[in-house]
Amino acid sequence: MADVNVAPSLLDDSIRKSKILVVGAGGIGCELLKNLVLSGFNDILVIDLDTIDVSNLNRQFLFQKEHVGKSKAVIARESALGFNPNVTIVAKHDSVMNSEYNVTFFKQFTVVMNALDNRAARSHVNRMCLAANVPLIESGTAGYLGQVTAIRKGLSECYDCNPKAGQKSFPGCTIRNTPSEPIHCIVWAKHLFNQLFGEADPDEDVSPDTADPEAAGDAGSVALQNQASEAGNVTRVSTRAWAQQSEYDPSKLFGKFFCDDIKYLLSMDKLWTKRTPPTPLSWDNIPEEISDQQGGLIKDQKVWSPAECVQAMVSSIKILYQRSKELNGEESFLVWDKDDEASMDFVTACSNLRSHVFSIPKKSRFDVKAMAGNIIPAIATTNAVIAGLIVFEAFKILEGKWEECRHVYLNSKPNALNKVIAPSSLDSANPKCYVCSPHPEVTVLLNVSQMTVQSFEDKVLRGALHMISPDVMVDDGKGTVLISSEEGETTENMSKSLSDFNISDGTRLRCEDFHQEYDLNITIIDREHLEENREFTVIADPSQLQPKAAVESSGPQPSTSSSKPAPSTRATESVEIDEDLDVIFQKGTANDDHQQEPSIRKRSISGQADIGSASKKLRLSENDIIEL
Amino acid sequence: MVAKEEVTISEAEAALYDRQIRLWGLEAQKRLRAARVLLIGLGGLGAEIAKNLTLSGIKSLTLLDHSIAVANSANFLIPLENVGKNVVEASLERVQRLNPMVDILTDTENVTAKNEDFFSGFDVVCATRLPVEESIRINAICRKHSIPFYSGDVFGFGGFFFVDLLEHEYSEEVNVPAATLKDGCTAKKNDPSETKTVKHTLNYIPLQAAFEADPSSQLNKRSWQRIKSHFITMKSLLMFRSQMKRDPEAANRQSDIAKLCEIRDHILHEMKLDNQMVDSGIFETVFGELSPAAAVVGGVLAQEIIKAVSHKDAPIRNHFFFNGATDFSGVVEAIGF
Repeated sequence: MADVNVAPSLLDDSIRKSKILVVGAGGIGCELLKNLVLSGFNDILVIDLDTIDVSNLNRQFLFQKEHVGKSKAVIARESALGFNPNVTIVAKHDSVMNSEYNVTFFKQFTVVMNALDNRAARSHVNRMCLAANVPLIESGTAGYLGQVTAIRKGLSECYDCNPKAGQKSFPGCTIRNTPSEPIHCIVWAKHLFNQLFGEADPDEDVSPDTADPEAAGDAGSVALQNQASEAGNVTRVSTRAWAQQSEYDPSKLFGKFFCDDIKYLLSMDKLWTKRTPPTPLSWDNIPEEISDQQGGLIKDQKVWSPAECVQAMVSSIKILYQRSKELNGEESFLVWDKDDEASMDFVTACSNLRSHVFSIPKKSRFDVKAMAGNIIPAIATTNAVIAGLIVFEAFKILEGKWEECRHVYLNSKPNALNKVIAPSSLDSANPKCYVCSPHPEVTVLLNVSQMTVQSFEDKVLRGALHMISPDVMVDDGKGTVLISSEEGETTENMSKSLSDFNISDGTRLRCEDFHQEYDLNITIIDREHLEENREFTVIADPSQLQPKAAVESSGPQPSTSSSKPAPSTRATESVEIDEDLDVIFQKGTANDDHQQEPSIRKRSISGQADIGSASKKLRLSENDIIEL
Repeated sequence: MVAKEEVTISEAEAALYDRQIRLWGLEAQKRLRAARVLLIGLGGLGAEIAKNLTLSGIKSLTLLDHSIAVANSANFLIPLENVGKNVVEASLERVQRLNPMVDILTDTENVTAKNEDFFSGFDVVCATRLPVEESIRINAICRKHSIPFYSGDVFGFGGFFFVDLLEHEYSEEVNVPAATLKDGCTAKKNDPSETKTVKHTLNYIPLQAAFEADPSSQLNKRSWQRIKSHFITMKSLLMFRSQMKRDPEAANRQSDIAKLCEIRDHILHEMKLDNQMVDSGIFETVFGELSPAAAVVGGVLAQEIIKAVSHKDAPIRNHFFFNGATDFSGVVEAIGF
């Protein structure tokens, strides 16, 4: 244990009396727990929903091989107690987003420290800490880079004050009809997995998209389309049902996806006037390529030949089909998991076969895993540094020295000021933040006749706006309840469209998340079509300071995958990271960075006025930024 | 010098090191796999370096320290029941458990008894808690055998380290403009920017030269201002250690602070900087070895060792300073050039 009697007793005392919540027991969490115990903190609660995987062991040093499969929070606690058995550590193998962890729960802590890897949880904890008025230290790492910052209601910007760059996603026609890059094929293969074995999502269709605007007006394809629907064939049967008819016969699956569907696409000849057309594959004639790849690679880094892809496809389908047969009842679907061998083999094989068909460079299983699984490379040292910096911020908070708190960046090389660890002053809150401002407001563009209440709740409120138990009332003078967080109260509303409730252009909705103590007014704008086939777009009020990284993001469309954080009771289940559908922050009419309204000029905590967007951009460009 | 034997990575290693191979590449991992590192001094900083290097997958880590484990130490590798044993023996089990694939060796002898032959068997030498004269001696030996050398310390809320990589060749990835959009693609293109590998060479100086340097006249005004406090504090602490044969301790807090001020004034006088103010409040914060300070300095230092061994990415040259009580910054400066 550290000799903490090295600073004036005030800090010592505050440390001893404090109660700390650590959210996450992974890369940052393990290092943080160690630092906290050694620094004299003796009342800690650590929560993590995940279990230990072998790939964690290169950095999550509280875990060893024998712990693989066990709860991270539980084992982290056990190992940390080895540094000082007299410390009180409570471990929760659970999701911090569960209703049990309400505002009262959060209020018991002196400081909350996030050690998370996804935006939904960060956003949620942010709101809970704002509601409970508890200081929050936020952090993140990616590769060699990391950041730490302090969040306090009324004193600093919150996690949601600044727009985050959106998750990369692709239009449906690119995935289904005209892929041009490996990632398009990988996304398609993941969708195929879900269509065959997982929870089928209508946004994840894998068959040719006849509604592709690029293909429109082509007499040939229209004729074929008419033919197809007249024959009343696959278009009416779900992919899964169709596969079950043949008991997942690999040759039949192969024939449809890599031959028949490809021929169909070829008939949509408008698509191929400027593109390399795809070449259908034949089950009886799979090319056997001789690879001239370098030796000395990891097995997974060798790119499979089409024949090897077919082999892997066949064997993985067999395993996955068997697995899905063994499930019964409600859970009759598999969840794709990058760490599951068969799931990974399936996606690698199918995406590479599709790449072959479309003359796109193939990728090794190693690379496919990174792209399909959104893997962020991670090492011990970055997490160690960041966890150390978190504790330093905590010291300042405990001493009441909020003015010394900083947003700290860990750079991969010295910045313009020769700093690899570079602090910058905290920004004050965005007065128009859609979470922490006095009257949060957003605008959502969508098609009121097509968007169902269920979709609105799942994709907009929960997915994009990170609410967890919303109550929604239509501001129509009658107090019409659209969505109730009470079970069963509004079930009959779910399948109806918004327009069924007379929601139209300009209608306002009053949304409340009782759990997060968060009220949000939403103005609906009715749009028949949005850019790139998006289902919705969220617009916050123009923010004064647009970070360099702010990018237009999308509403739900075929994206890489969806995630619902839930406690992991199965060893193989894992939360996908950073996949949240994001909010678009668009400037209003004034499209000028340098225009400033004096009333909303931000002031930094130290009292020096920022020069607005220009200075923030400069500050950001001095340091390596990762999006938390 | 990295061993020349051909090293392959097993499937088990590939699974364990997956997340880091994805960052620094298989080649770097292979070079780590061949590296034999000597770590002198296993206090709080040493424990962090030992943890980080063991996790990274080096070939062997030799822990050298003759001192006895005490309670309330910042070395988290020592179970309470091992207090009273030699520090490296007390830490061995926990270090080894971090990564069974790394050879962990212990040596309880006093480093001052080690001669040239001893050091020549390592690919990297990292010293902590040493009097600067001893560091200088070891650095000179390392230089003779072309061995990269580090020496670092944590005092209270902050710390620093020095690095000498002699003549160091490294490669780094540099971005080149991405390919143009393909025809007919309506989607927003995910242009992967291409990178190319560029090689550089950096020259370093011995510790003796760096320690005897006067950066106030060598650096430009802005750089000197930025590191002045760090540099003077470092020198004061190292000279305190040499003179008093111990580090500042809480039991002698007031007199040690006075002694540090005296040493600092002497240093400033020697540099003809008597009229330059250096905040004495900083000496309030140099007692003990705070865990978060060890974590920060140990993390940066260990990553530098990984860079040096892998010859990948630009290493720090030649000093790093961190202070968690004053400017909360980790600053790099080339001193003695």
